[in-house]
Amino acid sequence: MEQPSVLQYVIGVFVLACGCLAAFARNPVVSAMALMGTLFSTGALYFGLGAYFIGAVQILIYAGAISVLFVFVVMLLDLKPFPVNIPGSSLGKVLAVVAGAGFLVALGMSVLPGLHGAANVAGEAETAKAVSLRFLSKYMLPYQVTGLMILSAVVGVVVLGRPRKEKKA
Amino acid sequence: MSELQFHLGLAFALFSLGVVGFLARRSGVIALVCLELMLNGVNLALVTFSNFHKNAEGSSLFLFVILVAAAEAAIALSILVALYRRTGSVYLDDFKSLKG
Amino acid sequence: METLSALGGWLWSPAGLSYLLVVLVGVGLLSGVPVILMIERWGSAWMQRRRGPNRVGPFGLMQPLSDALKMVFKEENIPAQAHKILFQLAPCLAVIPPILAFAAIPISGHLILDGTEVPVQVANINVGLLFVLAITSLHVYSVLAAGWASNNKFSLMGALRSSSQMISYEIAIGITVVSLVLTYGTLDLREIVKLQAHGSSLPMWGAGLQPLAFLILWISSFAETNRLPFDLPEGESELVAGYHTEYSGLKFGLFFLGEYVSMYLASAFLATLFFGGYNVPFVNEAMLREFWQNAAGVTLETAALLAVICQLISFVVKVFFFMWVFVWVRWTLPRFRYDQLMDLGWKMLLPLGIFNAIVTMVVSYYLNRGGRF
Repeated sequence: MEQPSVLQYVIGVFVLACGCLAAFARNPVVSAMALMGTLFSTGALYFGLGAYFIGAVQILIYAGAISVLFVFVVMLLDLKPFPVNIPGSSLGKVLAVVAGAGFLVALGMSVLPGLHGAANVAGEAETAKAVSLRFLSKYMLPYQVTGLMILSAVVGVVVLGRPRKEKKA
Repeated sequence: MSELQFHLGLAFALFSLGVVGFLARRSGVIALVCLELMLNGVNLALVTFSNFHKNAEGSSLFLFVILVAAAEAAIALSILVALYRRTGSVYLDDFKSLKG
Repeated sequence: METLSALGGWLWSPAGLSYLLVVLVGVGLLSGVPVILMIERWGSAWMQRRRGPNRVGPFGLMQPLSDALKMVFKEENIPAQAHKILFQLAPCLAVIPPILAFAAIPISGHLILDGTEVPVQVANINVGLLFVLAITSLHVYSVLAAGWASNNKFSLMGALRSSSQMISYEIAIGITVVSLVLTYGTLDLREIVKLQAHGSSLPMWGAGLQPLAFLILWISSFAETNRLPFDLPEGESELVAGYHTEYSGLKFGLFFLGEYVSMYLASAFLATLFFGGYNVPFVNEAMLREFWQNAAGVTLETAALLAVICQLISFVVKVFFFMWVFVWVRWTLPRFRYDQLMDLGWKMLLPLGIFNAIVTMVVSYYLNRGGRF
């Protein structure tokens, strides 16, 4: 069982910091940029695990395209800063926080203790070749369906983005 | 703490941050950002397991999750933009017209 | 003194060479920026039939120094309603990706340290091509953050144009990478360079094997680095200065630095993929080592070091060839209009890239089956 290196700890702290910023920042633009930071540093974590292809794909697609989309939209929408507040009565808020914390603690306790084993740095299982062999044999149907899904998403975005036609009175 | 525990703990922390942010923030954009955080946590767990078992199943599912997240982010953001154009706000509590 | 020599011994070993190279590559890149600055000034002066900088030192050699000093001493003001944190973060986001992406570029051949062959590359990533692409796609954030945080309509317009231009041409690059991966069979940049050496399984450099991909990537790298003729985001006559209108002093200097370093990155990327990387033409690494061993009568380690130096010179010559073409095109071609630019990216380069990918697929299928369908 190896320990994570100091660099992995530092990157982990950075991931959590960016995640907190993304979830709780008041300004939506800061939230979107912090999302980029989270995705980029998670990619760095993948590089640390030895999964180079996975890390490169994460940075290329997630941090380099999806997050850019978020930042674009947020910057163009000109939203006002937004504080954290849970609507409802104070008793409701307290109960919500307690229930949420209880749920998360229960989830964590079911997952985290009793984990034994080491992730190693060889990373042969996550090369492009391994993944693409699976895509072309075992997951061929989901692969093609995903292509169709992305096409329908593109068409949907174009339709939703058209300006509304004003009804002539 | 072993490397596996570290990565899975981090994945869990990211997921819970996403859940809390999603439920506590009432802005549509921030909700989508927290959704992406949740998906990112799940991805980290998938890749960690793939590395642990030296199996490419986790990595393949990781790619599928990214693809679905991309399509979903695009559609959800364009819905938000259309809503903003119609009503001028993305505060989720303003969209009550379907309420009974 | 002893610790210094111990440190030197560790740096010059297989474990520590990466760290030494981090420092060397970083310093080399940053000190290459004044070089390209001078090349641009002299080159533009020569093309426009006027004298270049000749006041600030012999032949104007101190001009970059005076430019840097001017930028340091200028007043840096942040606009009143600007978002302070993002405004100051954007220049950093402009400089980091190009320097980071240089980690995956093979700079020179193999050194023999402690009996093992060590590649002269900061990080030997086996998906180097994808890594460089991924990191250059992060360059969009600096543009967006700068344009939005400046609280200025001209900046926002420039940022929108620039980021949409960069994203569009990234797609063309992505499709071209597919045909490149089919040709070379690997994503590792060092393997790609080795395949272009003399006596390997491929008959010629990448530019000969994939001319259309070369053209598409070359044009797209002009668009990615915001150089003329894709200069519209910084169009001085239209948008004041585009997304870096409100930046002055050292922050603007950082944007400038980021642009030149990304030019270096694009040149190095093109040289690696299409012009044989660090290979000296008509020889390969074993022949170079043999030559030095026989000509100078030295040990294998020193011969490897001399061969690495020859390959490094070859790499630098190729990079500077592409940089000269960047400067040459800037002062030759007029600027594209925005819709012409987007038309070129989506309606011409993308279909050409797809066509190239299909042709490459057919040809490689044919060749893999021994010359029959």
